[in-house]
Amino acid sequence: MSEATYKLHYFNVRARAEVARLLFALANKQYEDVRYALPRFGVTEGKDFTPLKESGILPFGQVPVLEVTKGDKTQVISQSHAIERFLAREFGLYGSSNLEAARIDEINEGAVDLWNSYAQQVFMKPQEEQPEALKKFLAETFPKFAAVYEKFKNENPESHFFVGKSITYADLMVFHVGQGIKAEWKDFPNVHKVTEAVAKTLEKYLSNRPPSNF
Amino acid sequence: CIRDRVSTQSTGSITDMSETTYKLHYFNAKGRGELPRLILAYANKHFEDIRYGSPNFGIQGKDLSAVKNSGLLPFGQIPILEVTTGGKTHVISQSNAITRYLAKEFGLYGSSNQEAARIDEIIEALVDVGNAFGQQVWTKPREEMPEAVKKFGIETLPKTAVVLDKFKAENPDSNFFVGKSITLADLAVFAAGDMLHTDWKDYPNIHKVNDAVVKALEKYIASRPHSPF
Repeated sequence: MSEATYKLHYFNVRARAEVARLLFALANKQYEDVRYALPRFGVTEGKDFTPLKESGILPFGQVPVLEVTKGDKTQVISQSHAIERFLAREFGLYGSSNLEAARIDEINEGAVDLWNSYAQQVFMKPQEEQPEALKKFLAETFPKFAAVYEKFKNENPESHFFVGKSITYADLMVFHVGQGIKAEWKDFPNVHKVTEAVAKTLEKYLSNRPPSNF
Repeated sequence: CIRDRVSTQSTGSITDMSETTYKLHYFNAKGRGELPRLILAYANKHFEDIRYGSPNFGIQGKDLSAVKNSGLLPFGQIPILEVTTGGKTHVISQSNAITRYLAKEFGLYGSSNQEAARIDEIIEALVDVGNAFGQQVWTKPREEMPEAVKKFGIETLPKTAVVLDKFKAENPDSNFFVGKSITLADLAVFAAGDMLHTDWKDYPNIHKVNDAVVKALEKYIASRPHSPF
């Protein structure tokens, strides 16, 4: 029974591939982390994206995609959250029941909404407007979401994590989105406990990963 | 009023503690509530279908402010699904969490992680379509919406539809996207077409799936409340 090998294709940034990378790191699984340059965002280091785009292997013409090879068969998985869910299932990081998986999904869907709000209110604004927009976002929009996560964590009191007793996909997602929106969770002590635990568990990976502005 | 439909497969009484009961809260509309309803209907499960009104959208139904103030809604939004099992009630928010939970409970998520991944790809692509639809249609004044829907169908939808049609072609000996029977992916594609007022006939492979779903859910589709969206 051959083990699967993995090849992740994405730009040389965190953004939409980082949670997949965190899942690999957490599960201590090997994978090829193929990174492409993104000149439009000043990311000059990395492979040239054009040949990949023209290769036809990207179902939606977008990255990330994950190539999963088992024996002589390769499956290409597109859509960042489909990749994440696949890896979370493969590595047992999706909770131990359908109800736990549902709570993980709730947390992740909410985190996606939070990120989308950030993108709309801050990231898409002209550069010079961003600092003010970020302040407003962190003061007004962020706390509403954070309060919900604080409550979710409270429903799992005897644990450092959102669901069950060990790290799952949900903890990684909240950690990653928190970094993406430049939020500090210290006003939300229960969530803060989770993100600190993630940072501690993945200390080695986090200190070694390539630098990235987003 | 609450629509209570009795499942023909129900063997226990309503007070049977070992049976799981479901209560879905959403607007009196399709929107983000219809896919959960389709899944429950396909699985032939009894559920309480609570429908709220919205003056903004000209919809009649129960008063949403009451439940909003009750603290029942984790994100202050609907849909939510209340799942009561073994005497305990769990509240699941976020439409995509609800649909995935129900699909798993009823065996509609494929038979391997690989199949589940393909289902997720389709779901995520439809989420993108839904968001684009929201941006291009829902932000328009009411009278401009029909034109915006048409424009969306001609300019935006094809990019995704072409890929979904290709996905179906990768599972040729079946009427469905994954495996040999209906999964969440097929129901989601029908629900998306239902909202976009398309039966996918420009995409022959998707159209085949859509027809099969319509056939399987004929009774539910004929008897559900009429909603324009």
